[in-house]
Amino acid sequence: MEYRFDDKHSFMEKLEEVFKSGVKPNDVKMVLPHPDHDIEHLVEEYTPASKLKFFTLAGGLTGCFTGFAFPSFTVLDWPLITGGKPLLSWPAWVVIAFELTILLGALASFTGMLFLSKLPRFSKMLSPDEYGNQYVLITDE
Amino acid sequence: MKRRDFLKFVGMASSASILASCGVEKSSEKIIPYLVPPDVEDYIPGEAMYRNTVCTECSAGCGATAKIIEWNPIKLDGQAGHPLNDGALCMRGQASLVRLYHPNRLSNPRIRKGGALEDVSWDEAIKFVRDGLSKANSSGKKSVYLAGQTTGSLSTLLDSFASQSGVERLPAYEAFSHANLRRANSILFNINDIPGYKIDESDYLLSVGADLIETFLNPVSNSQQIYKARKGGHFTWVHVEPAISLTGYKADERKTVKPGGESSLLLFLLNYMVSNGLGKNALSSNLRDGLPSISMGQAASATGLSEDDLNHMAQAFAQAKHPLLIVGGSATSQDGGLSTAVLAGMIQWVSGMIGTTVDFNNAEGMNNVGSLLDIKNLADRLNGNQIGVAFIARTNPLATVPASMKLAESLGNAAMRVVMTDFDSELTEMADVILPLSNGMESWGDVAASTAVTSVMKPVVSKLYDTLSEGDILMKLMGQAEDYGTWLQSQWKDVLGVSDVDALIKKGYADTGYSAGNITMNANAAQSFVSGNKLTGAAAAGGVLYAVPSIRAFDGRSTDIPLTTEIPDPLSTVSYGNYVSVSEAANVGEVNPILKDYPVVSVEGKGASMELPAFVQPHMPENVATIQFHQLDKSMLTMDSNTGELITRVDGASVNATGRTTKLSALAGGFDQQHRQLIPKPGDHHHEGEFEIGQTLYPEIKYETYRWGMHIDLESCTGCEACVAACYIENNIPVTGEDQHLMGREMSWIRIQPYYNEDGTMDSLVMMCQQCGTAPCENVCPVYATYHNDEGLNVMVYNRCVGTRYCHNNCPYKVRRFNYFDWTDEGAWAEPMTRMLNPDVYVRPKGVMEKCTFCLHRIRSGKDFAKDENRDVRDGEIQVACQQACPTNAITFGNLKDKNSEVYKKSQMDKNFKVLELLGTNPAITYSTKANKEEHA
Amino acid sequence: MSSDAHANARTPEEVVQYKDKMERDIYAAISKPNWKFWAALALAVTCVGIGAVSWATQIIRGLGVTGLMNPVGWGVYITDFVFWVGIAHSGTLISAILYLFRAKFRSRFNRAAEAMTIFAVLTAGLFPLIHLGRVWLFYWLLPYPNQRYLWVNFRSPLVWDVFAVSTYLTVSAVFWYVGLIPDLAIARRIKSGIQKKIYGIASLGWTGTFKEWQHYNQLYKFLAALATPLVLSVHSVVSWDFAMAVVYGWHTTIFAPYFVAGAIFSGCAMVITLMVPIRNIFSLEEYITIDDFEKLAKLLMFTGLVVSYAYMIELALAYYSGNVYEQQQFEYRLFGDYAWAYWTMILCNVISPLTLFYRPARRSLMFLWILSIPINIGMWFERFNIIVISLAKDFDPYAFGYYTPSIVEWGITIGSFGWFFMYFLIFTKTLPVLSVTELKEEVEH
Repeated sequence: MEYRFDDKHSFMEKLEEVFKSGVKPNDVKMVLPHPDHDIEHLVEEYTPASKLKFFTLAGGLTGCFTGFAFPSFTVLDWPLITGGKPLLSWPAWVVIAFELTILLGALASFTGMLFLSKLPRFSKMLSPDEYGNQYVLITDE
Repeated sequence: MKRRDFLKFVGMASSASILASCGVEKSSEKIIPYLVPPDVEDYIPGEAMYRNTVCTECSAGCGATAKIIEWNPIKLDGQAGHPLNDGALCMRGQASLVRLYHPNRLSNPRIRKGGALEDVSWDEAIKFVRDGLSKANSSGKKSVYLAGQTTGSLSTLLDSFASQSGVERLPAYEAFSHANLRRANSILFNINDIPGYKIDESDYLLSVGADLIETFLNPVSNSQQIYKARKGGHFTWVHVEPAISLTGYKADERKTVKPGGESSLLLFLLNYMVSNGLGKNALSSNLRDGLPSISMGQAASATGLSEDDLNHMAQAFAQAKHPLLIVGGSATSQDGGLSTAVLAGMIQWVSGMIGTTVDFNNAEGMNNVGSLLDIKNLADRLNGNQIGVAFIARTNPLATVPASMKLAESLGNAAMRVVMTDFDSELTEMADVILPLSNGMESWGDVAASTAVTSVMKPVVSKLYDTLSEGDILMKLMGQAEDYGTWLQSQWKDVLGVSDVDALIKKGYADTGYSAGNITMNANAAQSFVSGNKLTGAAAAGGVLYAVPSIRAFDGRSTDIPLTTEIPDPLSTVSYGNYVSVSEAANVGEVNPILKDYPVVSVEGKGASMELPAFVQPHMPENVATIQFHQLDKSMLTMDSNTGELITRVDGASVNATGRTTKLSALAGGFDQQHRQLIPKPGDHHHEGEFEIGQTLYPEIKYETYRWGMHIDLESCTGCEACVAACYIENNIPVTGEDQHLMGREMSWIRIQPYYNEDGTMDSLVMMCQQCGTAPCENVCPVYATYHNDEGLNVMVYNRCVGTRYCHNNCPYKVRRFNYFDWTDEGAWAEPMTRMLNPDVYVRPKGVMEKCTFCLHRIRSGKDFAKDENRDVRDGEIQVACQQACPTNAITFGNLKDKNSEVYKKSQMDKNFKVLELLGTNPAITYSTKANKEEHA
Repeated sequence: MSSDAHANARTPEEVVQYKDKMERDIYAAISKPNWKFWAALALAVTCVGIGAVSWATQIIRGLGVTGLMNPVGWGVYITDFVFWVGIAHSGTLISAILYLFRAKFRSRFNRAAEAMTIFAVLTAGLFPLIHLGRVWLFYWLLPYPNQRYLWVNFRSPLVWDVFAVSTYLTVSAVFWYVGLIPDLAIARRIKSGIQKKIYGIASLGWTGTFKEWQHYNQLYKFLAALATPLVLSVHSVVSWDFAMAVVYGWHTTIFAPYFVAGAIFSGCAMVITLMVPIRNIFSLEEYITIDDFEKLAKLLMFTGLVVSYAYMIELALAYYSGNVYEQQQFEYRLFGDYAWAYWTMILCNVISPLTLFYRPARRSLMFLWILSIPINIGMWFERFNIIVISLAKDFDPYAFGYYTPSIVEWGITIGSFGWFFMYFLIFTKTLPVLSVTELKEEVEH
């Protein structure tokens, strides 16, 4: 069954009705013209929030660890003194660690989004279902 | 575009870029080892051999040692132990290696046929000259032979050539012939020569006008002796001069005398001694009475010195046990210079210097040098069409004689002009025959270093071009089949009394000894001179311009060597371009050393005028200006008509601002310390307890065996630039030229920075990489191209450098040099100059940073030798190039870890300081100055 | 015009129609360009050509073709680098920080500003290569070992730069692309033929399901959260290129905030320089209002004041330090050979933004656009002054010297502007210059 709405509020009413009837959000397909916080709040009452944060956390921690470990490894691998500074000049590594935290955090998040959303979806690239600016709800009934 | 075309383009583009990237490195050559190594005892492939030779850049005759790697001399240094210049060469001597390899050297004989010069063989050229000689003889014209100062066996050979070929040997020509000094000595002591001055045996040196450190007779020897005297303690050196010179700044006291006032000073001193009965030798009563008297007041007004100064000077001079008076340079090459020289001779006699600190047994050997009178005479004879063949060898009088003599015009009247030289000049332009001379290192020869010592030389390199030594040319002209070398060896046996020629060559010189006999002053001649001549002249009125021989070019001869111009003048820091040094009082306009903007002035005198940039020389007396001799318009030169001395003082000269400015390649961006305490002055030191220099959060760096360090004694440093030249040659540093200097792109690794102080003194700060213990440059290099090695050196890995120049920015001493171009491509090493490259040192490509690393290759080689013998490097075993070149041992290098090393001991002295110590860079170079010593006293 | 006020008054049909109109208006720019566009593009490409020829000359002959010398080892190139990194700043600032602060006017500028960021970083990133003595070995700066396992020196601020700038480029590009994905999907829907295919592939098959939006929102929030400290760090790291050095005029603790403020200042100016003509040419008056520009003008004014404060602090610190090197350095800036450059900077960066206190000035687009030019110039000179004057007169009077940029350096600088505008021009014709999805979202609120 496919329901199309011009209006967000009627769409939300329909959604609530469907969910209250015991249908899980995972069992229906909702297509929105743009993100909407109200809809998101509504749906998240019936389904867990995005797991993306774990990707971000993992990426960031990896970056941070690498940022300290990698320079330390290189200076111990071939110890060269510059400017009389100690080999393990950790204050200098902070910058590296910071940048890598951000870099790997961001890349992991992006990859995570693609993974969770099952993108890229090659089948839909050239022959997608287009619904314009309407709100659409498709159920299995 | 088709797919295939696209692939083709991609392929082309990538292979082109690969090829282009290969082109960065020079293509490799195959190296084939010797199957049978040459039969030379000390030859080891790739290792250095050392051969003694003689420096021929000037006629002083310093012993030199050529460092030869794979048959190419790559460095010239002073011969250690040589009686004249023990181990040191001046900046020009160091640079003279370039003369051997210079691409512009004359490479083959040329004769003029139908107006144009053409290349010929030696046989043809010799035949051409001999034909010319016989033609001249048959037409009743006299042929003449004019050469630069000629001593030793060549002089003998020249005499026999002259008598055999009916050629008249003219007195030798030297621009700075010291004619007045020699005339005075011949009047007073019957010796037409200049004595050796034993500065090291004196305790009070009064030098008047003589630029001992720059060019006077033998600056290396002078500097060494001054150093020795200073080390001995009880030595005071007062320099009196009318202008400003490096010598003046390096004396203990510099006194400014009015131009022309020198004779009054000397007369005052003589009177003081005579009237107080001081001195060892009394003057005859006639002479004493004949001396004009001069009161202290008169002397003060004539000399411009204060009565205190005069009094002090006279007393100190009279009280000294071994006083020494050296008069020369600007004091004698002026009107009345002969009187000055005679007065000086009389003082030397009265005070008992003759025979002690003034040594005629070890004289300069200039008795066969003529004066401008001889040139005048020659010109007259030329004008009278009396001259047949004019031989001119090893000298270019056209560049140095007063223009009023019109020598070039006269020379045109000779039937034939035969020029023997090594570079083109205005002289070769008018030559009929050009006979290219071999370099000293390609020749057999001997040179009298003094009347008591003869330096000998044997070729140390095979000839680069089709050239001959002067001796060989003479032999050929005389029709001798024997070559000069063979003749010379027999001569050495006969004349020098040497039985083992090989041993002589190895030693490099022969101590022939010489006795000038018992010298007494000819009182009658002295008296007749005193009564017949005005002893003191009036001080010059108005502006005075002094043409001073330059420490870099001497009389101009060394300008053939690009390196001598590349290295800046130690006072003005000007490298390229002509300029005049004027006083601040001349008010010629603003100088902006950062922009290198200098006012253009017009200098007028003796009816000639020049327009050139002015360097405002701090401390220069009012109305006095100096110009380097070779940059002067020769119209302003005159001759002492009595003695033939070259008068280098231009009276009535005016320096006028033109209102314009121009760029002058003065390398300094500032001439005073601007309160930056680079050389701390008494009272400059940071207050105790404020903070402790050298405090750090970082762990102390441990050095195992070596921590290389250096100590530079600025009190001993004369600022002579010899170290700079040595560094250039040792480390293959390119000569970049005027345009690059104007852009601020000199490449020197070591430099002499003059800082003028308000109290009339000047400090020369020797600046090079400080090998910081905590170097700012190292941290910032992204690729580890520079780092601190385990021997305390701030090493530079050229191959790793990508050229960010961050290290250069972050160096507070600004001693790093960037290769803005590939200097090889830019012609810095035009063939055959590549042969003088030191193979131990990498020639840096473009885009790479470079700097001093304490001659790392020498350290390396020293450690290798030590390793062969299973020991550590001994103190003094490794000498870095600048240290080796320094005539006054101002530079000490060694291992700071070794508590017994000289450098360690010197680095612990109280009077030491480190440059910019407050930055916490912890340099490995410590300096010491006089100023600090006083502070701690 | 504020769209949300109208949305409530609209019927659901009208809302959908309005959203459709919005798509049409904004995507109208993605069409066959007229001759003016081609002329502008040709001009930009010509500039790139000038830059390329200059660079080729420099590679072949060596850095000697520049005016660089002892003691000034860095000049126009590093100035250009910092300038373009600065320009790159407001893009992510407007996007990320304002996103976190829920500042509405963000959505009018974020797409173009982010595009500007990426192109500016692409431009800035060239300069560390251009200024190298041996650019053919540039990859030695990357953290990989050579054949003897020598790595890079992580203590060098230049290596920090490598990490900071490449992270900034990557994260900004991801951030920009993520924001673009739904808009690309719209383009796929409303375009046809080959365009449809290209946008379809670029949109990764986005369909706009709830799940996609859910993760998308989460991602966007995280990216904004990560990008915000990144923005601040990047210019701080760039400032540490100088602040970590020993040179007076560089070696100062205020550099990081000072540079960040300066970067935002110049970035806002560049956004104005770009957006005023875009609004005009693509007739987007309905979507980008004067109010939005006024907010940008206020940001410009504020950062201008921060920068002015930094200038004063520098002088005050020098005066108060009692340090002769520092004092002479700043005296030299004010009255020395480079005083012309210093006072140009003061005029452009301190005096000219003060006009924005006057409200009509803030609301005049013409005035804002004109004002943005001297600010861009002034910020270029700020970097020039810091870099060049500090080096020209550092410690040893003997080594003082004056640097004059050469024609090659100007050629490459012109090339960098051409390079930047070339990308930006192509951007305006190929991608929506406004974030349609976000504007649509706002319609509902």
